[in-house]
Amino acid sequence: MNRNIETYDPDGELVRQAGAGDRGAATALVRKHLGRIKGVAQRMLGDPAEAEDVAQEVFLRAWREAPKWKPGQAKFETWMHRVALNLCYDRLRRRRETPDAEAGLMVADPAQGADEAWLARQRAARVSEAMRKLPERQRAAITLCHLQEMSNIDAAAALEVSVEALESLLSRGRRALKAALADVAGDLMGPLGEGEAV
Amino acid sequence: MDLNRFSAIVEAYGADPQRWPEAERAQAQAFAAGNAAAVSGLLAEEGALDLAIAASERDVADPSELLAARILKHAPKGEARVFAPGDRRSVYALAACAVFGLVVGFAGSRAFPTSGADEASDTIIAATFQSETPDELAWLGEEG
Repeated sequence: MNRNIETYDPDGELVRQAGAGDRGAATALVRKHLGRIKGVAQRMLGDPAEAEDVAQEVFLRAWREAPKWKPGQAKFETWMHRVALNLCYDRLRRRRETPDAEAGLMVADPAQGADEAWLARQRAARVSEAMRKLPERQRAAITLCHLQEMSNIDAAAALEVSVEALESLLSRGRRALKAALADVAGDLMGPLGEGEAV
Repeated sequence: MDLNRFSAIVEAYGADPQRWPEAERAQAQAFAAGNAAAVSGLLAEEGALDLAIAASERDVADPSELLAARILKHAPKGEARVFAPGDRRSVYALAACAVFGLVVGFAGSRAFPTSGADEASDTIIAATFQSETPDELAWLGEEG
């Protein structure tokens, strides 16, 4: 079979089957993509419940599209990420006037103060908080390339920008993150971060 | 590949070559190998940030089973289509089978009239296939 690596969609057949009513194919798509779509939404919104709402809406739209899905136009996963990001942008726009009163607070829990797992969660929360403070497009670019492990071409397609624009978003986002985490660089980044101008 | 382009790649995609643009990856890796002293500081700095970003993964919980079930409930439903539309041969075959079945059934009823014993066994067979086990009922409940 001659497949163009740029346009070949590994989900194409599953989408076709799901669109024809194949329950097994629909289940396989959910198993494969739900965690990733919910993950990107949670990183964008910072709220697990809202992220689940977005993930559900993405799949409902996917079910509507599946029966008429045309392979070769876009990768299904890229399309799903694009829909998820647009839904997140809408929600962020609506809540922009409502600042998060708890943002930035890291309250120590004396009962678990020495627990390494608790410290790890705090570190993760600290980085997530810095991520949430990035401009939306920079946050989306870093999420897609670093956490969703998408290629630059797929990430650019999901963001509907050129690869050059994606690189610019990534560079600016990473610079902003380094600045935001500078005060805790040694703790967050381990030995590599110590002594570096991060 | 020069230092400017290499720096731009690492500052955008981080220190892990797997994230570098596929079209430039080999060249960038060769450049790094040939200029280790010049690029080691940059790679260490960006690698540290990569680790910090990866740490935020722990802050994202897996989706709930309930969410998956809600989503699957709305998945496209299958159509109970036996024949593809326009498949005339299938339609003719179905019609021929129906006619053949009617002929054989009619001829058989004339040749072998139903006895009392046959009626009793028919009743047992019908009762057997009409019963629903608890498992079947549970499955039906799930689907509904």
